[in-house]
Amino acid sequence: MSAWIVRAPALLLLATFFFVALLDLWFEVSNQPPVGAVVTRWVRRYPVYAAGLALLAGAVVGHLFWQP
Amino acid sequence: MRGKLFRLAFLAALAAGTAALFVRVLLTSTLTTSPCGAVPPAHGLIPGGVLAAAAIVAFVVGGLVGAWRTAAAGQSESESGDVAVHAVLVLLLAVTVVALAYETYALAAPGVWPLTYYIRCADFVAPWWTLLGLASVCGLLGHWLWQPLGRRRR
Repeated sequence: MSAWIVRAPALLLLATFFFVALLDLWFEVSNQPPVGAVVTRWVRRYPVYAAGLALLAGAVVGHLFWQP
Repeated sequence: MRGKLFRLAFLAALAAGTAALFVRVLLTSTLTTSPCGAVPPAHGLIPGGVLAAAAIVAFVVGGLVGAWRTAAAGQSESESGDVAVHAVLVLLLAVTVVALAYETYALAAPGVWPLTYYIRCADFVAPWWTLLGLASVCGLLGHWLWQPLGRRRR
């Protein structure tokens, strides 16, 4: 039971990364601005929100992967 | 032309890395018992410093290629992408909420593995998959979130 609670979000996360990567690949093929340019413009529009997200993402990744 | 081919190959490699990891995680669902036993070892086969260095290198390389792509494609004034960014953020935050809720539950419930145990187990049982997954995810994050050489617009 607990394994699926872990695997389901992990699979959803990986699937999201994969499909956004495919979308980005399509943008490169069709000479459109990359996903990074859209995200950068969004970050400049919502800097406080973006800083909060960066803090959250860094804390989660550090908590999961780094065991000093 | 050669630059475009390199960028396409880079993106295809990152997408293939996440797809391979997806399949690998899916295949572990067929296991009935944990290969790490009741408690995973304290440290994986790849030292944490190597994993951290790989993550940083992948992030920086992804960011540099992203800045290169942005410069090659030019800036877009369209604002239609904001909705898509918000939609993906909602999805990622929802996954984060579930993951942190489970982590909190696992800390309170004896015998339930927290997420850190799963990652330590993966690093012990399949270290190269762990490295591939970490590099792919950090490369994509750097590619999407970090634009070190991007032009500043007013």
